[in-house]
Amino acid sequence: MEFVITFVSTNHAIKAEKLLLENNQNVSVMPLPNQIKAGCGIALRTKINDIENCREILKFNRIEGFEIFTREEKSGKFFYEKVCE
Amino acid sequence: MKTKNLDMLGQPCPRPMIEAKKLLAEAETRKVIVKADNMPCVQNLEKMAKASGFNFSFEEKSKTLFEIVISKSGELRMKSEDNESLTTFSLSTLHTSLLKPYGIAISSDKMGRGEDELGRVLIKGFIYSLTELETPPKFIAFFNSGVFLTNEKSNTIDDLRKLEEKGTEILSCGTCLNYNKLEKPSVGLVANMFEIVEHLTSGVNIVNI
Repeated sequence: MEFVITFVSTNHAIKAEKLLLENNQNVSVMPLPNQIKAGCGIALRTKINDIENCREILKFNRIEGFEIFTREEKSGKFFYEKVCE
Repeated sequence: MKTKNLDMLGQPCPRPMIEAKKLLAEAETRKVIVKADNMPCVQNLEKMAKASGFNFSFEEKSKTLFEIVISKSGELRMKSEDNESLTTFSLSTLHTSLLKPYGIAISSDKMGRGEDELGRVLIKGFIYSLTELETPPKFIAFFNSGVFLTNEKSNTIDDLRKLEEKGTEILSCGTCLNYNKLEKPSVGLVANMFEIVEHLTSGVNIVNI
């Protein structure tokens, strides 16, 4: 299972990507999926083993307004569900 | 039939869901009983259980104690999912045959002109988006600073590997790797200018980035 993190602005997303990569978190950039209605155009993807650290780092560095969604693949399509903020 | 207990009182989101998911991924687990202390956590577990086709129920013992039971049902659901994937597969095959083949030329490690920081993020989003297309490109040719994207240090590698698995040829300009003091690309092949020219003039549509 993967996780997707959304942000309130592109600047937040760029800052968060830099921050998480510097802290050796395995994140990668993706455009905001159509199924997710809130957030700016850029989102980050990460795996189950990194999501808790990512959340800690973002909170610690006061990146405000991010949201976390799960992403699951079924029959070649992706489904997203919001889990926390 | 193995039942496992999971005490998630005081654990921050999304840990309860992750731990439950891990236990349910084990083949021997048939049932997981989770203790949680807040309603959003219960709702997350419910979404996760329903998405995976598990049975879900919960009991509110008090305002801060919920007991959730997630159990695996029979094999019935698996079968219906198989049918669904067969239909989707044939539709996507039809779509593939209608689209003209195309290749992509990437000449920079940034997308478009403007702030470098933004351009670097945009190109990553672009490459990821290619992996979600039903018809992947025939090839992607990287040249000039574009070759930084096929290097291990770039976090586009996983997406490029996925494209390679889907049949996309990944080419990195050898002169450009050499000039930028990069070793062999981490994904795909090194190509010289003849090969790049042959690909770009092979008659397929070219998308220039």
